[in-house]
Amino acid sequence: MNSQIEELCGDPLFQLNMAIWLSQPKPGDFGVRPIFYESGFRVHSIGPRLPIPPDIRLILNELNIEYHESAAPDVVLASDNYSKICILECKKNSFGTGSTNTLQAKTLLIISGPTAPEVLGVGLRKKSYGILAYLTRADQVDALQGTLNGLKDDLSRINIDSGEPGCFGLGCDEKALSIRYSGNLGEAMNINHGSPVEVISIDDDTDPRPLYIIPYDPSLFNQHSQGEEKICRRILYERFLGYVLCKVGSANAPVEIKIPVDEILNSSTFHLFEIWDDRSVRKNFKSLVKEFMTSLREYLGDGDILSFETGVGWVIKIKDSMTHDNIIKQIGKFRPEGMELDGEVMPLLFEE
Amino acid sequence: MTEIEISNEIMSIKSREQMIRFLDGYSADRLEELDERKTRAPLVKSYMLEHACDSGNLKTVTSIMKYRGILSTQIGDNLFKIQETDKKELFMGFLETLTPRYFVFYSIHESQLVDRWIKKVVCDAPELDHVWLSGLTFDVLWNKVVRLNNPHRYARIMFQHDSIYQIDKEMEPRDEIEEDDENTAAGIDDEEDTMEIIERRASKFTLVDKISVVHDKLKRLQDIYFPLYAISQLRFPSPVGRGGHDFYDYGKVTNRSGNFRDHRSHIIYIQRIYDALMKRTEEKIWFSIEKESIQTPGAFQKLIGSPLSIKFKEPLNKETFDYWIKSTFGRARNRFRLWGNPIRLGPMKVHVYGVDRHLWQPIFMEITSKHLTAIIPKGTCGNTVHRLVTNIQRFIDPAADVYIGDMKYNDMVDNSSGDVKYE
Repeated sequence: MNSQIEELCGDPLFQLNMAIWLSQPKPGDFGVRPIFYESGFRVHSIGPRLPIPPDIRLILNELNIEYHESAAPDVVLASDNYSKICILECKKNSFGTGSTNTLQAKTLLIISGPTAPEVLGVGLRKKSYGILAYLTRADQVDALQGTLNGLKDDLSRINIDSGEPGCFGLGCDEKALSIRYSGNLGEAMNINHGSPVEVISIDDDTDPRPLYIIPYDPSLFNQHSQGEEKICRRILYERFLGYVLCKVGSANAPVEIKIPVDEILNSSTFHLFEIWDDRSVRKNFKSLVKEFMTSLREYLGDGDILSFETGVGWVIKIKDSMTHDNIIKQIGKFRPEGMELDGEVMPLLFEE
Repeated sequence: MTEIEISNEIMSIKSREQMIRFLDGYSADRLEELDERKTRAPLVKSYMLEHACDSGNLKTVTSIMKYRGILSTQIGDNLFKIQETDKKELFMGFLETLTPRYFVFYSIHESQLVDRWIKKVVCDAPELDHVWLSGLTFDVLWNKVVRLNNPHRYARIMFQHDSIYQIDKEMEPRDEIEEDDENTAAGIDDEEDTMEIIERRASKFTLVDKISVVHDKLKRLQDIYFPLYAISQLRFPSPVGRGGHDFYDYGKVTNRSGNFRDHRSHIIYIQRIYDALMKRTEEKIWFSIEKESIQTPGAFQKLIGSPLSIKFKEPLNKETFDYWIKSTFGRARNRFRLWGNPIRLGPMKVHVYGVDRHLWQPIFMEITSKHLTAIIPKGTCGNTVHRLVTNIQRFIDPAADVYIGDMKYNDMVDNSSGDVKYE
């Protein structure tokens, strides 16, 4: 089990959900200990697209420095009055110079600097103390910290201020999942626990993952381990199924229930789907809806009950209350667990 | 009185004034009969209901009832006479809409008939739910009873906890029995010949004593014996004579006073507290990611909401945990009215991305032998939370600690009761 948990610690979706739970207002003596929340931080936003302000881009352009014009960090944390802002990025592994990750890190360092409140639209420059934190595996922390320090020095040499860089390293032993962090990061984020700090206790033969608030990210396909892909896709399908059941259960027969593809995706991802700006991710997501609804239609047997209508989405036709009760029963018995959960996701060619 | 006679009485009433006068006089007659220990007709019973739905989709009483084959005839502002349309065509009582979200149904039919009838109406209507008063809520309301009444008045509290999922290694899991204990009158033991032999923790008893005595001792007793946290009924003594108004955990209120107007005032008071509690609950607990908004700078893609956390006083054993999960998610009709396919993450840990199958709204839960954590997506009625807490206290752990975000549930109820001011 321990090697599986170690692998889980490097999974970006697990890391993202952990980051969210670490910022949740809840008691710390059971479940996840919310060390970010206890230190005064809450989730400000998830996956926001943050562009570098023009004056800084001008300097970088004139010096022919490579960078990304904007970045979409996984999570932004902020203290109550925005006195501190932490840009948090999840990474499986450390990275060296010259990779795409380095360009992203450079951009993140800039937007987490004194310009952070301006970039987030919460105030003027220098109003907040900015931090850039990476959440990664514990064994990647030292290498990644070295890379970040190097990038910060590069920016300092051209007089561009950056955020305080640091890493949170997720690791485990037999009893607990812990996070280790450097002294500067602990001080910057007011974390007063000694490092490493235990954030989830591990029971025997038990997967320590918390509930997934973000259930799935199709852009991470092939980055998950096979087991992880299966469980994440199952969570997404369970959410699709719950959504369909809610729609059917709350309807009054006779009725035609319309389920637009965007609606099922928004509902299942806390509306993250509509702000995902990666077109291929959106297409992959839609492909998963098709996969799921097709399986559900086959399970229901009668093709007239559930069908797809172009321009509308999926439609469930319920002619009377007896059919209504039967459909509720059948949908309630459908088990996404039995679907293929690790097959390749083929993006849809057409909107369907 | 037969059910036909009762139905005819209800049928003859044509206005709010008539209803109030009739139920006032009727209540006074019943109190006299109670004194003589010879009741000739059933007591007045009220059922607090919630129209569980987002504010944009509120329906009228008439349309909710009509779909269930029930006729509602308006006899005053926000007041309807309710009649079944089956063979008997019985008039069942009166339904008053206190606010678009809260209704109260008054009836003088026998408990046995009307309890089942209202339960079926609620069960068939995803738009309706009972008002759920958990043991923790009653704990706060008890303080209101203390503050409202002379310490020499008598308090009446019923405690009910039944560890129906508790089994030991050597015991075989049994079939879950459908809940039907709401009709059982307190203290009346008419089950001698049929009583089940229970070998698990099952506490149901009524405490009647002076308010001052109960106030002095209750907290200490609760700390010694946890089922005393599971208050399932509480009497608000009547200020106009003996007796009072018995509030049940599922929103039923029996009038054991001689005054209907006072009965209604108490219901309105508790409804206002409940409404404040629901608003606070939903404001705090609803999980959502807000879209970019011009009106709220900085609020783009902002994650809001807090989890519901319930920590069990004592960890459940493996057999009890398994039986609870199996009987809740393995059958459509279960006490918690939840649906989901549990994802097993360990011997005593599951994740359920499920549905409140009464209101048909989503709820995501982590359930372990030590705690339950739930995420309530925006739009899921706050009633889901209060029903869950009520059922956890009643069937799993009467002394569980409950938090909404980092705030203790009791504090939230207390603050909500403080929101209800004279206006």
